[in-house]
Amino acid sequence: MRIATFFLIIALVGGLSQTVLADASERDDAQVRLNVVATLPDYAMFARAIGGPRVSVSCIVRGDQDAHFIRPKPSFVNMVKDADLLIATGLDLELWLPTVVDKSGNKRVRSGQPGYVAAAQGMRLLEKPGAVTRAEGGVHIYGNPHVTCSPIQMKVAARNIAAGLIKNDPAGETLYRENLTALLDAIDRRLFGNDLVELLGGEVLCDLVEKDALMPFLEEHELEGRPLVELLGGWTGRMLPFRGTAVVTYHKNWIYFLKLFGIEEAGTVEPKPGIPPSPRHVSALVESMRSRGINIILAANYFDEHKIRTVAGRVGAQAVIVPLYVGGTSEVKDYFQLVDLWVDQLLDAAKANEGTTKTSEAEA
Amino acid sequence: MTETPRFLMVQTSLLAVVLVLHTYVGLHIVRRSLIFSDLVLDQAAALGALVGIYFGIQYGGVGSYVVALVAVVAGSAMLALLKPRNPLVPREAVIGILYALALVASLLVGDKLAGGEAYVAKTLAGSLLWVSWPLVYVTTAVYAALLMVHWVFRRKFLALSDGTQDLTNEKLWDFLFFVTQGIITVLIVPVAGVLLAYAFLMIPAATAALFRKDWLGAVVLGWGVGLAACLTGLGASYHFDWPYGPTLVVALGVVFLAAVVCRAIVPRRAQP
Amino acid sequence: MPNMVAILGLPFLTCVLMTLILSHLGIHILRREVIFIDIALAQTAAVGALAGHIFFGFATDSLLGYLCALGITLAAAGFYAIARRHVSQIPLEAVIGVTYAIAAAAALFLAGLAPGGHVHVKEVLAGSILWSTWQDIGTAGLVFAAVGLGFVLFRKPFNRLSDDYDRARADQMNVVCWDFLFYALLGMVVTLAVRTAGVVVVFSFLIIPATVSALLTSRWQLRLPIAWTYGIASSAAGLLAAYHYDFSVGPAIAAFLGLTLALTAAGLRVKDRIRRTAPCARPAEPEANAPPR
Repeated sequence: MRIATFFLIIALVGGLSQTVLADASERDDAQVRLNVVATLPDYAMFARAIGGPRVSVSCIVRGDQDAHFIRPKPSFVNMVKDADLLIATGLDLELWLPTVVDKSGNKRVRSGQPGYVAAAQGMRLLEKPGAVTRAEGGVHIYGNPHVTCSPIQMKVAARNIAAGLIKNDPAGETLYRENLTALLDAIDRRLFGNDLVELLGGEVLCDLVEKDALMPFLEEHELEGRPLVELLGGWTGRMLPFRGTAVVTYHKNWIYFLKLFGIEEAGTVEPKPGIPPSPRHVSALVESMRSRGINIILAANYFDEHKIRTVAGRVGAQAVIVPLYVGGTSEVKDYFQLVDLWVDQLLDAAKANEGTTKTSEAEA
Repeated sequence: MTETPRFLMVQTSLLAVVLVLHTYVGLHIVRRSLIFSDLVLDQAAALGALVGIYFGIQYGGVGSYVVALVAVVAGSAMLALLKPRNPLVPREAVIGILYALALVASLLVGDKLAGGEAYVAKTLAGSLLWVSWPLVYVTTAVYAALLMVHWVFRRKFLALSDGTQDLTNEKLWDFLFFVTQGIITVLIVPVAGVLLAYAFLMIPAATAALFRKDWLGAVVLGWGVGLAACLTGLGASYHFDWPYGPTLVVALGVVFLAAVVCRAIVPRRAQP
Repeated sequence: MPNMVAILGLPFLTCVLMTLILSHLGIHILRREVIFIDIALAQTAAVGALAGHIFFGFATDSLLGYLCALGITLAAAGFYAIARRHVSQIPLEAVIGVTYAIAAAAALFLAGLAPGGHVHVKEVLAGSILWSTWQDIGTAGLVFAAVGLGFVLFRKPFNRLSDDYDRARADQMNVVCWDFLFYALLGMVVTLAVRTAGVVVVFSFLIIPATVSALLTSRWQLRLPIAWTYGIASSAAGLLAAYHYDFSVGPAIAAFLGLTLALTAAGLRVKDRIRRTAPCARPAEPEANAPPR
């Protein structure tokens, strides 16, 4: 017995010494000026694109995780401890973040300090609740925080990230501004297609979108006899067939995306975050989907696939299950690929639905 | 058919079928005082499914059931073999520790899964809300087969608990009983979750055993009371938008607690 | 290294405190042989805290939250004390098993009413030892010391009840009252511990070090120090493993508690077998072979 205790103590001492040795951190490239930690992979990607070789970026949430509900781990604390800049959404999405920041003892990156970037600052938000009650499911009191789904909102995030980088590393300002301009331009082009961007400029187009005035504008005005609509390319162009239709989502992640492309959100399977839907809600949703002929369910890939497919199966709908963030699947390595994937999958689902409708019509 | 009646019919059918065999097996367990061992097996099934997810086996698929079965068999083996010789360590301590460690293992595996917490909660609370007719048919078929076996060999099985006869092959029948328990555990835990599966097994049987000593009467009473409680829970969950699985357990629990209070207050009359 | 101490220091202190009081309670519990009351009470305490939080808005680390949880736990303890006395048709273990399942389901039920339910479920089970604060440790120290004092003061009646319940009853001892008091003291500790450490971890600390010490010795003076050593060593190992491999701290510690138990039990079996096959066996040591009761 005593021998056993003796060995246990030896093992412990051995383990501890290993830890001491292994804890020595490695210093990287001499070029790196800022240590940036982002909560979401999308912000991390943007920080890399803007910061270039002057930043070293790490990310807390994995692309296939639900950012609402992350278990704070010791490794997060270590990450934040050494951070010069912390980027978060800042709209009570990452509720677990303050605990981690507190434990790390890093005062520089606390909310409100120069080392903290609230990516959603200055964004126009949807779904700001009138009254804040528990009945709403503890709903986000500042508005819907799932801003990464809309490229237009992400432009604002990019600007905020750049501002944060410049504030903390003024020497790199020129580089950051260059990269920011390039990034914003790339987003505009992917959104609207090269033609319209060169004609009108990205800012004008985004402004029109924010005012819900893009489509009327494009339809009214002409260039060389053709309505501008025909010049519309990029994601907005590809998503034109969806305008005015309705889909059901699994959770209210997608409202900014849907609003951007003129799609109605006809219901959610899981209305309150993290609360499994009740029998009555599911029944009502299924009946509503049947009567309105809604045949697409859009969901992030961190949800329970079984539930989504069950509901889809009952209604004869297509389940579009996609990663919500960069890196959510191995093929999605940057933000552009992410949005491409969303658009591709939605269009595929619509095509599959068309096929089913045609078959059933032929049989009828 | 519209959605709500369809849902109610599927649920009612499944509950009615499940409760028959569970009440019967539960009576064995109550009478033989094996109570927490079942919780160990339920949690082992959940652990198996979680380990399966870690290796990419989809929850609720055939592979998941296989892994759960392996885990349950391992759990049964440990329950049977781990008997402390030391008089200071009661047998319940071993069973309790096995349960705690199975739960700990589930939590640790959950740590390594993307979205692990949701899966762990799912194995506990179940997803009874999402069952469909095919599952009801399969369950009915398997349960009917098991009931047939237990009816044909009823003298042997009942003797295990009553201790009235000298069984020639007691270990064999004991083993067959545990196999039965293992099969229903593996079938019902992925659907109903650990807690509801345990509640189905224990509560109707324990409630009935408070009032009746015979077998047939107890099974009928347990089934009736259990079904009534579950249907009440079903209605309440639907009406008040409460989480479905946990509401059923709470409904069954309320009935049980009321029965215990009744039993404690009303003095026992002479049994036939 | 400094990083690690800064992060793990307070959690380690919490674990030490819990080991000290819970191992002691665990030794009593093993003697009484009603093991599952503890996990049922722990779960009830967790549900009580959750209910207080959801229905009355008590913060989880507030005094009101603690009292709410304690009240519900004491009600459960009273229920068990009465059931033990008045219900004989089914074993007490059945009542406890069922109430454990009900309490766990109640936790899931309440968690299902509030957003982020599955995170609450995880916290109830696994706790949040990693985030211990000095305030937590101070409160725990006070409460545990008070309860420890209670056990010293009332040790004679408790021992009588633990050793032979039926004889104590025959001797006109007010068994319901003393039983209830025992569970009340247990409840005070468990309710507080569950807040930080979670149900499963508290249960593991209660039972496993006590079991390990029972395997190794029957001498009362040695059982507590052995239990403490094992508890503290496992906590340290668990904390390190959780830190390096990114696991939840509570379950990692409980896993090490289980591991040390398994190793000890296996080691003893091997030692037993070796001694049996040895030609000139020494006379059996009093530690390993306590005569059957």
